[in-house]
Amino acid sequence: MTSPAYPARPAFPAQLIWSTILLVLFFTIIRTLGERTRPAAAALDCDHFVAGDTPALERCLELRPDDVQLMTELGDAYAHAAQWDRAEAVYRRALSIDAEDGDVRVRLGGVLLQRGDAAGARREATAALDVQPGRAAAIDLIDRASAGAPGSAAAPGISAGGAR
Amino acid sequence: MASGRSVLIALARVINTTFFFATSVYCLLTYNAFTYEQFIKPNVSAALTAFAVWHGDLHWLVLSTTALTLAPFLERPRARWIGWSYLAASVAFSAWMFMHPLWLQTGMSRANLILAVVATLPPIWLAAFDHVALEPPAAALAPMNGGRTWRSCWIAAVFAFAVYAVAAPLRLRLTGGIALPFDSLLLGWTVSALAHLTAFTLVFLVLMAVSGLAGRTLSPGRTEYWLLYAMSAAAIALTLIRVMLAPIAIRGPAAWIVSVATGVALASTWSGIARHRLAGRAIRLKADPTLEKGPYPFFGPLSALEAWLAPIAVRGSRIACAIGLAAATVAVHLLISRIAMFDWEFMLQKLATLGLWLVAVGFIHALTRDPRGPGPRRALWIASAAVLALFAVEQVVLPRLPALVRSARLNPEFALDGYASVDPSFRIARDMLVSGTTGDAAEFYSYLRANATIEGTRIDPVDIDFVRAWTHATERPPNIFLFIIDSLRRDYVSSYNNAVSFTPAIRAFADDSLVFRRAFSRYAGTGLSVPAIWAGSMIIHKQYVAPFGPMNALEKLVTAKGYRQVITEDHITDELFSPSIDTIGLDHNVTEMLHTFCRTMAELAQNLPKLGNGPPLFVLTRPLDLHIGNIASATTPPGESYPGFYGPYAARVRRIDACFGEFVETLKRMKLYDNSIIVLTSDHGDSLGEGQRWGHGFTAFPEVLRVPLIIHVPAALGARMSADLARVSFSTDITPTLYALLGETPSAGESRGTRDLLMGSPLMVDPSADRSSRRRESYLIASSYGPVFGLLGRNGRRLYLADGVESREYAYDMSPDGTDVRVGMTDAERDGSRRAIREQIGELAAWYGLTPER
Repeated sequence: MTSPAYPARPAFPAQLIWSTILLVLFFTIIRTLGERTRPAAAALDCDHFVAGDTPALERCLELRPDDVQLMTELGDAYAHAAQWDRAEAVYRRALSIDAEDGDVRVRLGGVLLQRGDAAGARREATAALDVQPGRAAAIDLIDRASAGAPGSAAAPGISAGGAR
Repeated sequence: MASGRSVLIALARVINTTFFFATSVYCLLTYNAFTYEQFIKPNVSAALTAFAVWHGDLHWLVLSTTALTLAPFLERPRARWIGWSYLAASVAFSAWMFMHPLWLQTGMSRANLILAVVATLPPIWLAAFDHVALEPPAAALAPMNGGRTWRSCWIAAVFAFAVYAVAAPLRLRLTGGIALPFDSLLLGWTVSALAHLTAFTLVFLVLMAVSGLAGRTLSPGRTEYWLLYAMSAAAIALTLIRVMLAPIAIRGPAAWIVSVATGVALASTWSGIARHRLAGRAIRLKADPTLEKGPYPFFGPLSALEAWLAPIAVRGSRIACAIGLAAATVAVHLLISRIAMFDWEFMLQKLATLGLWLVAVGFIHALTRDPRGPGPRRALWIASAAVLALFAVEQVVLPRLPALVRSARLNPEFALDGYASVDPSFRIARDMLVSGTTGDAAEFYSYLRANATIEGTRIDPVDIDFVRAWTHATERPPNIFLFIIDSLRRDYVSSYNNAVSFTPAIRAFADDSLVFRRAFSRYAGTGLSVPAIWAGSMIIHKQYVAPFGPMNALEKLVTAKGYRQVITEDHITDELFSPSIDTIGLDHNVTEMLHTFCRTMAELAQNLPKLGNGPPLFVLTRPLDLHIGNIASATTPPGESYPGFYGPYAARVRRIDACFGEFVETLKRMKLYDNSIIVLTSDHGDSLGEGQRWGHGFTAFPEVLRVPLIIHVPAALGARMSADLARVSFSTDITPTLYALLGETPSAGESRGTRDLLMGSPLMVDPSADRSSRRRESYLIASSYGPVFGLLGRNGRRLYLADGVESREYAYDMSPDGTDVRVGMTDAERDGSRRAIREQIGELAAWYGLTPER
């Protein structure tokens, strides 16, 4: 077999240069694109806020509409301000997302008792005991509902701090 | 005859290289702490164990086969000394291995690493022999033809795309686990097609760069060939680093050394096989010179690329190439269906697919012809630039696609992740093209990698004490039975899933117990989850801190209370528990992977009458009936059916339930049940096809983190305490709960800040205690086997995962009924989650006296 006659080496190494340029350009651009853009969030720290800061809690809840803990905090804020209907609405919203939250049930029961609904309070306290057997606050709520005495605005054991 | 001999020699080389590659892999797995502790010691892979045990005999077999292929060439002067020295060295190696059997090698020592590198030398040596012994090709190699190379790359791209794209809908339907609507599937196909085209265009450009560089030398073809060799060795090394070693937490200098050595060995073997194939071809040409004048297949000198691809195909019959492509397609699909269940985060599927890519390029290149003209035309550069530009545009357009098509339902990232689960070829192309991150994200993932699977740093144990001083209760403590069913999923237990009908005994037990509905493991693998249960806390990400005693809060409790320990012997208890003189070992001399719940319960029931009247018993066992290593080969017994469940797994759960029920009856008969604390839980869950995932690798997806946690408490103890069953709980709470139940109330009133988030807390407390903090806080979780960390918050309803292996992140909404929905995140949520993860990792590191790696 005869050796092939190769063409003379080109003066300008076009093949090497073009391929290198394309490779370098590609990887530079792809690296530069970096992380994809995501929707901007409001400049609000929903993990740390002042206790009872109702406006901040309401704004955070708009950003995190399914955050049960935010709803609990907001409900507590309403209850401390004796806004019983708002507190009840928020607690019920929380329970629609997480029906097993015994803390919210006790809180809702306390609000219902405040509004004179002893049967409702007993119902919520009993439901709380299903998931929190032996919980003193739930037992106390049943006792108060049975005695017909209104409860405190918030169930015992609620932290006053808003820091998370 | 000649080409037949070259094929046989090629096969012998493949066998030889496979043997030494497997040896190197085994030694590397033995060197690395994680793989040694979790794969080698417990004999997870029977095949790997068998290889190690029979290694010496296999080596003789391989040596004999290799010697037969060397014999015809040993008379050639240049090859003689290489061949004979190889044989002599091999015999010496065999003798050494006879005195130091592979399966008896001490783990985690430098000798393992050295042996892993040494095992790559024989293939290199053999390849050197092949290059020296064989006559070089009569004709000099020609430089590769740009037009033909371009065509081969693009056709290979279309082929690789089509092989998996066509099968994707079928795989989705057959295996389930991924809900991918048609628009998402269409998006997957489109993006996959462009990704393949881009990946193979890059391959083309690299080949052109190689050819351009070689063109500046005196022998362009020869230089091209050796540049292809170097490039292949580098590509193999990079593939090993990223696809094989990173997922099993082997990194750093050791990983690079072994990868580079293996890359050189495999590329050398490949080149040696190419030499034999070309030699066989030359002999055919000599025997039949008319072939040279015939139609295309044998006309003209070979190019460097053709020579390099000779192990797959040299110019030949089109039909043979087509059959080869078809056979490769069928083989890869069959292989993937077999290995999918026992794969480690798609590693084997990726390697099989890369093999298909190589085979496709080889056959397709053999099928194409040189176009007229000396080099690539301008059109090729324009086409290549257009593809790359299109890909870059796609990266910008994709996140904005939902807005562009006005579809709020379409989430491109989720759709492509779902598609990638059934298309490993797209997965590889995507990893090649869009891997790596920049800026803050890169720094965060680097932080995760630096704080996971810590090796090479001496770490002293910390004291984990839940109480300052022991109380001295006069009454006899209750017996404790701690059953940790490895890989038991919560949704296969009737107390958590009403659709389960095959665990009646556990249901009856649960009716009399506390069922913690949102229980999770803090680690997604046995390696750290079990020690964390004993410690009652998260522990530093290292296997293992020694001595473990100061951290073993559970052992301290049972020792202080005078318990007699009855413990299953496995590689973790052997290493971390300190048996006392009266400890009874269960499953003694039983291979760990064969530890079954029924066998252990039978042995325990047999021992109980002898032990019942003595000190209180502490029984601990971790059966492996449900481990993926056993499930992968299990079948659904005839006559049983489990619609909606994975049959082989459900069948084993049924058997476990039956044996559990029998054991509970035994306890009742012996009047031990009422006064015993019985904990039924698992160390982690498992993936059973969700998103095409199987088992529990280095990730921490929701189905792996969820565990059942059912605790039976003596009535007298339970009456004094209260529990919140719907509050997030962890397996690390078990030990502090036992403390509380035995009257050793963990130090109250002391807040240790972030450390409180790492430590377990009693699940049963004073009825008036406030336990609401658990609902508010977010808790660090981690993979046991890799740099994957996460944050579990909103009372177990939200999971953020940061994967430091693949530099990706996920967020899930997890509903209490077990359904998980992947969700997007805002920048604020992402930043907050990352900050919280850093805080808790930093606290953990500071606790152990480490400066958190930045």
